[in-house]
Amino acid sequence: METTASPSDGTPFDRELPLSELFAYIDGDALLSSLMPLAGGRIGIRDAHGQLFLGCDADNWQPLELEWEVVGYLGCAEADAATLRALAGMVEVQLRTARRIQMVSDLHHGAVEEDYRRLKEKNEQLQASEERYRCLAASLEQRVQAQLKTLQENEKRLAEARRLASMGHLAAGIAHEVNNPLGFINANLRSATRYVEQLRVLARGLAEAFDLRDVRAAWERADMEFLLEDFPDLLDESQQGVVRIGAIVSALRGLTDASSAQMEPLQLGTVLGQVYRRTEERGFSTAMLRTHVDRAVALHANLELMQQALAEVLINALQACDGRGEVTIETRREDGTEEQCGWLELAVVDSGAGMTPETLEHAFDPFYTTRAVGSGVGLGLTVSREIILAHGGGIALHSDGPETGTTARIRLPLHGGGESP
Amino acid sequence: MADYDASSNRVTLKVVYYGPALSGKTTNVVALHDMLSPQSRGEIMMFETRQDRTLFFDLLPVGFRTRSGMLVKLKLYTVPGQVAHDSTRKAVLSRADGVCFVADSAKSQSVNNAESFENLEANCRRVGLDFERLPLVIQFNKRDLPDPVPEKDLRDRWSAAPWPLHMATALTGQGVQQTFLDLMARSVESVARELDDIGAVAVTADEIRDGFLTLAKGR
Repeated sequence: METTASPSDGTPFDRELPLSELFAYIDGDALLSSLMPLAGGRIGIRDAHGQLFLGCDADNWQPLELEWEVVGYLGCAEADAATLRALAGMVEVQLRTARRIQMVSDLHHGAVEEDYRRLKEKNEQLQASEERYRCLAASLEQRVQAQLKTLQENEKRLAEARRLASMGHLAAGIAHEVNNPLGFINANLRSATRYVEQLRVLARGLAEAFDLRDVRAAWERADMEFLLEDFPDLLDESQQGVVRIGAIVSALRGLTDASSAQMEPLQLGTVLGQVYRRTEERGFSTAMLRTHVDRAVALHANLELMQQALAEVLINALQACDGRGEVTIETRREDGTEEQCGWLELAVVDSGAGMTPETLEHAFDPFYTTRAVGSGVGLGLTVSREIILAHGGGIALHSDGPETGTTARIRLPLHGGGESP
Repeated sequence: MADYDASSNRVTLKVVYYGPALSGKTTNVVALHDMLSPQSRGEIMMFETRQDRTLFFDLLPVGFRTRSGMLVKLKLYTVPGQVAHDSTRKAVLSRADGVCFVADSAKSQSVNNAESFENLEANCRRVGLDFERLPLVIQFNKRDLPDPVPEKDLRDRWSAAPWPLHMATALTGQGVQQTFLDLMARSVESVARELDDIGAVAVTADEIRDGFLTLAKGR
């Protein structure tokens, strides 16, 4: 049995069908051979246009009607009119049944296909959404980790900034408070020195004007000789103390400024030139210095502070060598990507005294120094570190122990994400 | 969309009885069948389960010839009301010239009525019928129930809608004819306009309507 076009092809299930198509649902040959004995001869069927399409042609034809319309003809040469009409009625019953089967099967076929199509659509949507969720789930963990890292870094940076700010605030306060008394102590000490000289003149005058013996006795009772001898030394020592306090205060100024310094694009060469000058001014020779430096690297920095920071590290290295061995400065740049800025790594390597683990641990602590009292205030590396941190960088010291030399590694972010200047 | 076949001089109309399950669509069609003269009605085609639930559709073919000899054929369908048969409902609704929405008057059926009506609107959109312009009548069937929703409530509820309401008891045939004639009057109107647009048919709306009127009063 052939199937006719179904509604899913766009043809309605209830369209009018020509006889030939209705016969797709009928076994025509079986029908004809079962009718033949009744007809008493051979039978033929013509369509609505009179075209024979089943059985044998004949002369007398009986119309086949379906719902008020002639859809074809039944013919038999041998049958009389009444028999032919009866036979046509039987064929009409068959045609109605065929029509019924055709409509239902087309409708059902169409409905099933429609349902199937809808299910398939829904299934595809589900698969797409499942895929989306799978991708989401896979990247979720990664994204959470990345966000967490960013948050932690921000948190760290914020805490660092807060610490720097409060430290700067404290240093500024101390500098201000100490500076004032320091000023008048210094002035007073200078006056006092002058007063001692005046006392000495007075003593000499007194000795000449009065009985020398009485004056001498009083003089010795008061141990004036020692007093006049020792007084200038006392004052001198006090004044040195004042100078040292002044140095501490000025070092603390570095901390004050670091947290709120104005940054500008700077070439490393410019900064290093200032560093060498400053180092020479502080009385250290740079003759033993070797450099392998990319001077064109651009930093985002405050010139005054950055040169102070680097000079302190360099001076530290030169002091460690104490005139022997050598100090090397090397740079290496890591270019940035779109997400991450580039970095400059600057290493100051000395072949000097080296550091014990204990010294390394405390090297950045304020007022920590291994040198003789008076030769340094122990703030150099502290200030360096604060300045470098305020520039978003970092510093680390490395030494394998005493007499093995020390390496200071400084990392600073490149200006403008690291593209070449 | 009336189907006009010039070569066979035939115009075919299609109306669909729509509504929730068990609201009496088939009963309406059977009642109509009984009212029509045997010459004008074809053989009713019904596909039902043993519980009298329509499986695919019911089809009552009705036909007459106008004075000019044109065959006017009406295919009167019911859809299966059960929710699961939506694809079948869609196929049957396709290309309808008019719809009779058969609602159940039982108080418990309000939700089913509303859902089925929404389904009618949605399916019209899916098969490309303009719901705003579709000839539509609404019949509240089963008025013989012991406690139906009062007619006044129904009329109040539907007063803003543009469609006419008919009260019916299809089981006894009451209201069936009026519903049918109202639906035919509206459908024929729009069919005649369509045919006029094609400009191919020598038949007027009055002629077709009168034909149905004669048929319906035939017995």
